[in-house]
Amino acid sequence: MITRLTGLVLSLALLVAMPLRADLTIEITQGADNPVSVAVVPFGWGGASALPEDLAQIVADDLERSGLFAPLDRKNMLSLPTRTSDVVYRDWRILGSDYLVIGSIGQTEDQRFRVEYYLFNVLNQQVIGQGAVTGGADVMRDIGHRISDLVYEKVTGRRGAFSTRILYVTADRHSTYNTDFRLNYADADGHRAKVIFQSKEPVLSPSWSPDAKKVSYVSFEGGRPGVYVQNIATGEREQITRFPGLNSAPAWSPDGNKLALVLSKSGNADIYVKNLKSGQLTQITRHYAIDTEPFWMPDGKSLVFTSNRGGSPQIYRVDLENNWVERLTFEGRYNARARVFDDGKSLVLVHKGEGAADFNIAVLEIESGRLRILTSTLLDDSPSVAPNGDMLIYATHKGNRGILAAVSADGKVKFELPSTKGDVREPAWSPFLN
Amino acid sequence: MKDRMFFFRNSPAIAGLFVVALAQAEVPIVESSPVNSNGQVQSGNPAVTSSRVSSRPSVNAPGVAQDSLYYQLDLLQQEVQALRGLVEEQAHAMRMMKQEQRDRYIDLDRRITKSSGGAGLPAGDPGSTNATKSPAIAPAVGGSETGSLEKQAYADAFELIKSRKFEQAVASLNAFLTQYPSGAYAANARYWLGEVYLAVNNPEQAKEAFKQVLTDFPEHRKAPDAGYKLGRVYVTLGDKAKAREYFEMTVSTYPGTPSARLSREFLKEL
Repeated sequence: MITRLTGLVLSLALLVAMPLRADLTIEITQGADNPVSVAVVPFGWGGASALPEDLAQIVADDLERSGLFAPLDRKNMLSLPTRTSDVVYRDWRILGSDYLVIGSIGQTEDQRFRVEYYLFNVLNQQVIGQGAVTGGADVMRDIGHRISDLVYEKVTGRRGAFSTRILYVTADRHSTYNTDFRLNYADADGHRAKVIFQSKEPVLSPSWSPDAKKVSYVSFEGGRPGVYVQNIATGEREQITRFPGLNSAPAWSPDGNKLALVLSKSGNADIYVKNLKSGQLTQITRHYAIDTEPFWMPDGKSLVFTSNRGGSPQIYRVDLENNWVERLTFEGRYNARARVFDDGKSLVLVHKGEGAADFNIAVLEIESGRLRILTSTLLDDSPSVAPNGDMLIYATHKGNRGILAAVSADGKVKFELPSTKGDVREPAWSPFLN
Repeated sequence: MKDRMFFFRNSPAIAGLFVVALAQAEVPIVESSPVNSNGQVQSGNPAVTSSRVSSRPSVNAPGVAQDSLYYQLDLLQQEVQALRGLVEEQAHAMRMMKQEQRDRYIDLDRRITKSSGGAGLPAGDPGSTNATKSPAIAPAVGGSETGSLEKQAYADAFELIKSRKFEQAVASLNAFLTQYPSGAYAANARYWLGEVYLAVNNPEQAKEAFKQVLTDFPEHRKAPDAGYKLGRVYVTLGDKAKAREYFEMTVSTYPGTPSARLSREFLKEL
């Protein structure tokens, strides 16, 4: 909340400040320093009709966006094998590809597609991964992302997050009092976006349930904020709280039974936890300063939150057993909206630098207190971590519009997501879907 | 809400107005609690009277006292917040100092143990200064293996760029290039040196750095970026002909790269 309000105020100042600061913005046009070279050969297809999706392209795009891979241009391929027996390792060694992905697509009797795929290690000439999936045209992108996940995991040793989803809010402003707020659900690469909730009043703070089946968010429908939970598949909604004053920033507990949220019903913004099963509401923080933006530690035993109890917005952690509060950030006069990596060792947050609009995404190692600033654009906001911890998605500005961008956890790889109409904000990266 | 609160707290002018308002509110007693517990500024219109307060027997004193109590409470809250911040920061600084002291001691202890028990080291070996030093500094990275040391040195320099400590980054990158002139990260280091020179408004030096990437590492992944950036540098320097030359070179030599695309866009505008 603090971030957002300050952001609004600062966007005016930004118009003036932008040209002056532009020189200091370093463009990172490329990915990691030494990406793994991989060749994804167009998949074989014997059918008469055109395929609904170019699977090999989806895989190559996924891998390239991760920044850890440099896919080989199709034009340079010396051969286009589709079966394991067709692979000539020498061709790929000459081209410098360390890994090779091939596949073939066949059609089943019920008009669905059967995809077989193989991943080779070119250097030691072995198949290191393979699979076969059957599905209709509507899941072709899912199959592509699943192949990308396999390659990523086999090569990096870490689970891929290409099959995950994102939620984000768009605001399409027609006139002063006529804005369409939409809650969108899309693939992690921004494709296949669909609106799951729409309102003329603001929609804020989407948060995933740990099983990725439900979303919690704040909606101002009826003119007042309330916290809602919606089933993504069925669209079924339930109102969780609607107290007078603030009802904001819901965050799902790792076990899925509780929601941490911010209420001001006792006169001032404090953190509460609502048990979704019993309906019991527990006040966690009690302070005349503003406490907001709670997020759970992965063990579910403590929460991190933003508070200005020390005179400036900083990140604190509260132990839910004994309500002991400990400050975590010490660098700078503004650190807010923390999200925790799944290993519980690092936080991602919004850190303010020296310039008026210098709001950047930074990663804090909790143990050492080391803060790494990942982005260098202006007014970066609302970071959310991929479930494998390798990438972060966040909201930023391009021109005078809000867009989504992603950055790797080491800050080396950046890309922007295909922008949709209107202002895009508050992305939330889903947990693993299975 | 937050902004309003900050505004109020940080504005002595408004606090001053409030005192004036108190002073003027003589007979129609004002129920003006300008800051409620929510931190919101309430309508500070002194003409709004409260029947509850004005019906009290002693007209002036309780209301004013109450208001000034609110005011003092607010000041106290601010004061406590500021002090809390200071205490937190100092406690943190002390923890860091303790940690650092312990680390230094452990490091020193290790070096002393090494040098007193290190009879195995050949004294006249030209590399002996390095040999005694490197295990103490980098025991975690597996002895004195140059690859990982180089990677670490590059990562450290890159860290400085990301945290925008540009002057330090220039020094660090130059030191890196002196030590590992043909290492695996030499092209990257040179490229980033160019970027940093651009950031600190030193296009001449940036030009040299980018040119070296192109001449020494024409096949490297950073080469197309360097070509594009050289074009940009010449645009900055006002040499459109040279800029065009480099943009065109990038487009023709490195087709299909993002830099070629960016160069093409710039060519349109030149």
